[in-house]
Amino acid sequence: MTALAELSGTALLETGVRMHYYEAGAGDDVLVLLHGWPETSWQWRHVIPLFADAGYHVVAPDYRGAGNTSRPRLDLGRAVDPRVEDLPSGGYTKWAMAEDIHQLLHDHLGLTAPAFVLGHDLGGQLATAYALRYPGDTRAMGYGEAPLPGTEVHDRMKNDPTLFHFAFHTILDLPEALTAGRERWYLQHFYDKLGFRPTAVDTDHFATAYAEPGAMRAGFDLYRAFEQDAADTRAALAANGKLTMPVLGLHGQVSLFSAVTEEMGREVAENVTVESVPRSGHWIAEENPDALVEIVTRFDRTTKGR
Amino acid sequence: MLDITDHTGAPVRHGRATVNGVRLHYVTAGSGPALVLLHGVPKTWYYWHRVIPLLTEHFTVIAPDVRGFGDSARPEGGYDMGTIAEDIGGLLTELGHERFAVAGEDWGAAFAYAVAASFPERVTKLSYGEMLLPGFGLEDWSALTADNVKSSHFLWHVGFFHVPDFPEMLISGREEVFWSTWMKNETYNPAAITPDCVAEWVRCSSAPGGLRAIFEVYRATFTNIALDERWAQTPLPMPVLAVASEHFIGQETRRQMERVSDDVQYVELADCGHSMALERPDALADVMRDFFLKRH
Repeated sequence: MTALAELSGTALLETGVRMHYYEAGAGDDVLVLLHGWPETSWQWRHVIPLFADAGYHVVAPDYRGAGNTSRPRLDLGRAVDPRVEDLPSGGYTKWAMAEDIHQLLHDHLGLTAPAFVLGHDLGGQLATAYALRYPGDTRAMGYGEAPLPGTEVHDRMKNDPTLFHFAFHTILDLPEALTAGRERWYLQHFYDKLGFRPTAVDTDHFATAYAEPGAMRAGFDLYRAFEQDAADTRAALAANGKLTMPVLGLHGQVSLFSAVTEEMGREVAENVTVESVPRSGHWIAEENPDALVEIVTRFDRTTKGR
Repeated sequence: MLDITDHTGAPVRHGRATVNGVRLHYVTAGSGPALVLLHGVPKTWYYWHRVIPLLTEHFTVIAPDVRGFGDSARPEGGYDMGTIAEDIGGLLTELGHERFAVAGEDWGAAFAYAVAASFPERVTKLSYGEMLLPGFGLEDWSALTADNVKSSHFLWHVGFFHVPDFPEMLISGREEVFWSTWMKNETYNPAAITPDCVAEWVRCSSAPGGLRAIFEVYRATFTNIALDERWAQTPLPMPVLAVASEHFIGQETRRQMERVSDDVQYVELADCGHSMALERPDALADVMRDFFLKRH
């Protein structure tokens, strides 16, 4: 098996983002893996070679602000007149981040075939935004283990005490101040709370990644964009209707999201299959990688009719 | 919170006002025409605490904490000179002053200039102290050149503070040693940066977002350059005082204002460094009284 580090690549995107990604396999059967918070593309370390062995051309980026990808901020270097133009955001809406992914696939890697875009946790929000923005370039879409902004499920769940961080992360500056130097403890809280087998999560790796300057800030910025994400999703649904490509909803067998994965999927897509990853909590790619690969490949075979 | 008194011994008054979408804290004292005092980095209204009692006999002094500083709110954005000028114009409207004079030092001078350029019909006089404007020399003095490095005024921090996230990470938890060393380094009399000043500015800059807000001022550099270039196309209509220290920015302060005004007088304070209002408050107050009380 090839070491993951040898599959590492860097893309300098037109959006201004320097994006790190892993790439394995080859060909037109493209499978994009989008990680969640507080993780990076490293969460896919077990499944990348397995998907490649199954025939996929796997691309697993660190999205904007995470891991080894750059972490843009407010209007750096931009000459704007604030009275005639809104202050630009840091670009952490999932709609904007979808453009990064699209440029990675089609401009940098030169892919032409539509992709299967599969996201976990906030990566599922990003996968949904990608499919809504680029339906013609999305062959299939997967989401799960996080509410999708713009759905009624999200509106219901965002005030759930277990998801206290949805509110906490939107407060400006305070979460940065309180977690600085304590990143590991804060991340471990989520790994423990949401995991069936929390030791499967590589806390050392992620704690190191999130201790870098701006890493926690960029993560919180993902949450600060949720209200805009909801508006973007609703606008896309109003303009173009629900997604029509095959959509896979995933949740851990032991998960806060078991009961709502199908409901929220049907709010954004016509053709939804929901699967439970056995013996797993939230961290499906690490807690049970073999089952995840089996579920995804079976779904894809079935919906492709092959 | 630190407090001071006016020339009669009466305590200054604190207030808050929400203007231009941001909640500002300000101090006011005295009577007479309105005079706004704008602090620089990493300071607050308290920068003026030695000068305020020397002005309150003649002026209604208003010393706000600029957005992001002191006890004012720290919004996500809006730290460019244009937005901050709108904040100050809004505050003076809220306090009932249609016309007012404005004085600033360091970034406070850049903000004071922005107020004068944004509200030329409202600002009666401008005092501009110890500052290079973005686009007019600030970046030149911050470049890594042999001349800058051997000078006493190498503005290395301009590039450093512009970098996202790193200065927050490195200075957080070390605010006291960083800011006190940095401020004293720019003075002629380091003892003028007294422990009460350091403590107040450490209190504010170590609050959540305190460092970030300070650095946002530098991160708005390219917006500020565009604003400066546009404003400079129309000379300021009001009299301008350029006041500088012998040992820090000095003569270049005058040249800055001569680019934007045909009516500039220049005063240089001897035996003084960058923190004029702390190092030579009596001399600075004399200069300001002369300028703001004189009929033109």
